[in-house]
Amino acid sequence: MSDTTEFLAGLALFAGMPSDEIADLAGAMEERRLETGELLWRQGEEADGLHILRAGEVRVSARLPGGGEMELVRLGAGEVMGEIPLLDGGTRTASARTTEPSSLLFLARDGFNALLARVNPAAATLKRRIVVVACQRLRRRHAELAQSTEPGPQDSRADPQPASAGALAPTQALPLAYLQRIPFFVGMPTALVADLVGIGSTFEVATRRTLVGEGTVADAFYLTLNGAVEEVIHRPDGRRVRVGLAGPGRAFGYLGLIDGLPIVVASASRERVRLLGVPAAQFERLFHGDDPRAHAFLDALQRDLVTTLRQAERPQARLAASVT
Amino acid sequence: MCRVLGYLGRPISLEGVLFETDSSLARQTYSPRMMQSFLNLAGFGLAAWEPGSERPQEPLVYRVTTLPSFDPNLRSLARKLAPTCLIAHVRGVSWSPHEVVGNQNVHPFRFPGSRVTLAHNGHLRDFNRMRYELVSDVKPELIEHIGGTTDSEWIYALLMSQLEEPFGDPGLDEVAAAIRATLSRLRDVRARLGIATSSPVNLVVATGRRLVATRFSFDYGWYPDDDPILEVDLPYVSLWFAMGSAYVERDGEWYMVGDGDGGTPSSFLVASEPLTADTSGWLEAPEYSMLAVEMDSDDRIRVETVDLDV
Repeated sequence: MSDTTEFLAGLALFAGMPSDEIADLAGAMEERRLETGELLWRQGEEADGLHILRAGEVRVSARLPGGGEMELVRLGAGEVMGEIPLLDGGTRTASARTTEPSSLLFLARDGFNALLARVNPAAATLKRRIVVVACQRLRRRHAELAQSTEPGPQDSRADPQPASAGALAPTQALPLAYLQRIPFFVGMPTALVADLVGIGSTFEVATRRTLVGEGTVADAFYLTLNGAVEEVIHRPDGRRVRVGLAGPGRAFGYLGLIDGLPIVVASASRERVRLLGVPAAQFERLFHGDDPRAHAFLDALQRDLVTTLRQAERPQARLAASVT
Repeated sequence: MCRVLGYLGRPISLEGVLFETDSSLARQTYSPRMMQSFLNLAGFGLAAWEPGSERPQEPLVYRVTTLPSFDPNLRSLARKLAPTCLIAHVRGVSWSPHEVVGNQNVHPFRFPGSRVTLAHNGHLRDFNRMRYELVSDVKPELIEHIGGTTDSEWIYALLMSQLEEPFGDPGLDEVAAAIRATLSRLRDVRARLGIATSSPVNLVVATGRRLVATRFSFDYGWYPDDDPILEVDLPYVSLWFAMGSAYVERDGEWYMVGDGDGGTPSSFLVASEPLTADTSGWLEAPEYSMLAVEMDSDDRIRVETVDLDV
C-alpha cells in the first residue's frame, strides 16, 4: 500500500473501503505543497474539486459586507475540504489560506468525473459517502434553524391536516416528455425515467395536508411531480420555519432513508400536489445498487440533496454578518 | 418575465443600482443570473422620490421602450438622482404576435395624481379570459386610466380599488391589506374560470415612505400541457433583499454596509435577484411571503415579513 493510500485509509471518508479502490482514487489525486500565507481558493471562485490536508493548517474565512472578514474555522491534518463541490461544483462560499507550510491532496472534479464515467466502483462508493456527508451537514443546518432565535416570517396559518386515505388519489403517471424536463430527471434516458417511475406509485394530494410528520421514521422517498410541498421545522417558541419548498422535480422526506435517523422536518402540501412515492426497500436497492438505473438514481439524488443543502444554508450570510 | 427593483431608505445612488453594480438592473435586461433563458427587452421604467425635488411627495416617473444601456437620457438622469424611495423595472415578454411593446405597457404603473406605484414580475396565465371578469371590481373613476394591455396594470387597478382613498397617502397596513384583497379576488376569478396553472405574482408597491413586496404564485408547480417555456416557469420566481445603513461602493464593489443606527436599518433594497454576483449580504425572501417596509419620521426602516396565505 502506498504512503498516500495508507494516509487516505485512515480518514473517515474512506474508512472501510478496499485498499485497491482507495489506490484508484489516490492515483487520481495531485499532491501540492504550499508556503505560509498561500491562498488555496478565493470566495466566489468556481469550486473545482476536493482538498485533503496532509500536514499544516488552513484558515477559512468569509468576506463580510462592508469589507470586513470573519474567520469561520481552522483546519488541520486529516481534514477534508470541498466534498460537496467535488460532486456539484458551485462557487466557493469562503476563502482558504494556509497559516503555516502545508501539504495537501487535490482531487479535481474532472478527474473524479472521469472515474465515474468509467464506472469505477471506488468513485461510486466515494459519491455515496459524500451524499452521507451532505446529509449530516443538512441535519446540522436544520438543528441550527430549529434553535435559532432569529425572527422568521409571521405565519398565522392553522396546522395542515393529516393526509388521509381519501386525499391520496391514485393517478396515472405523467407523460415522459414532461418528466424529462423537471430537475430530478433532466438528462436521464427515457427508458430509465420510465423504469424509475414504474418502481413507485403516483398519487395526488389536496392542499394543506401533512405528507411526512416530524418524529416519524422515513418509510418512502417522495418526488414532487406537480405542485409544491413545504418543508417545515417547528421551533420551541412555536414558530414554524420553512427550510425548503419542493416544487416539480424536487424530492423530500428521504434523509432518514440514508442515515436511519428520525424525521425532523415535516412536509406538507402547500399547493395541491401530484407525487411519486418510492417505498423504502426499493430506495435501498437503488441507493446501494450497481446498475445503470441505480447510478442514474444516485446522480439525481445527489443533485437534489446538494440543491436542498445550498438552499438551507443561504441565510448564513446574515448570521455571519451579525457576529462581528 | 421581467426583473424588478425596490428601495426605501436614505438617499441611494440611482446610477449605482441601475448601471454600476456587476449585476445591475440594466445588465439584467440581457444577462440576468436567476432566470432561465429569458431576455428583458420590452421596456424600462422607474418611479423615484427625491426629497429635495419640487412636489417631493410625487415620484418622478420615467417609462420608455429604449434599452437602459443605450439610453443617454436615463444615464444623465441617474447621475443626478439620489432617491429615498424607488421602484425600477425591466420588462420581459415571450415572443408572440399578440404582445404589445409600448410605453403604455412599461412598469411601474401610476395613475395620474396617485402616490401609489406598482411593478410586477410574473404573469397571470389565461389573463385574456380574466380581464372582463375584473371590470366590476375596479372603481369606475380608475378604470378609465387603464391605458395598456397588460395583466400587471389590471392588478394595479384592482389594488387601487381596494384603497379607501386611492389618491391619498395609504398607511402600510392598508397597502398590505389591499394586496391581500387583490390576490384573493384574483384567486376567486381563477377558480370560477377553472384556471389552475402556475402564475407568479411578485409585486413591488411603493408610496414614497412605504414599500411592500410579495414573493407569491398561484398554483405553483402546475403547467399547461407542452408548456413551451417550462424551464422558465419551473423555478419559483426569485426575490432577494438586503438591509443596513447604506448601499455603497467600496474598492470597486457594492455592498449594503452596517447594521444601521443601533441595529435599526436605514436602507432597504429588494430585487428579483441580487445586484451583485457576490450574493453574501443578501437574503432570499421566503416563497409565499410579503415584506412590508416603512420609513419612520427619523428615517429609520421598519421591516415585517409575513407568510402570504391567500
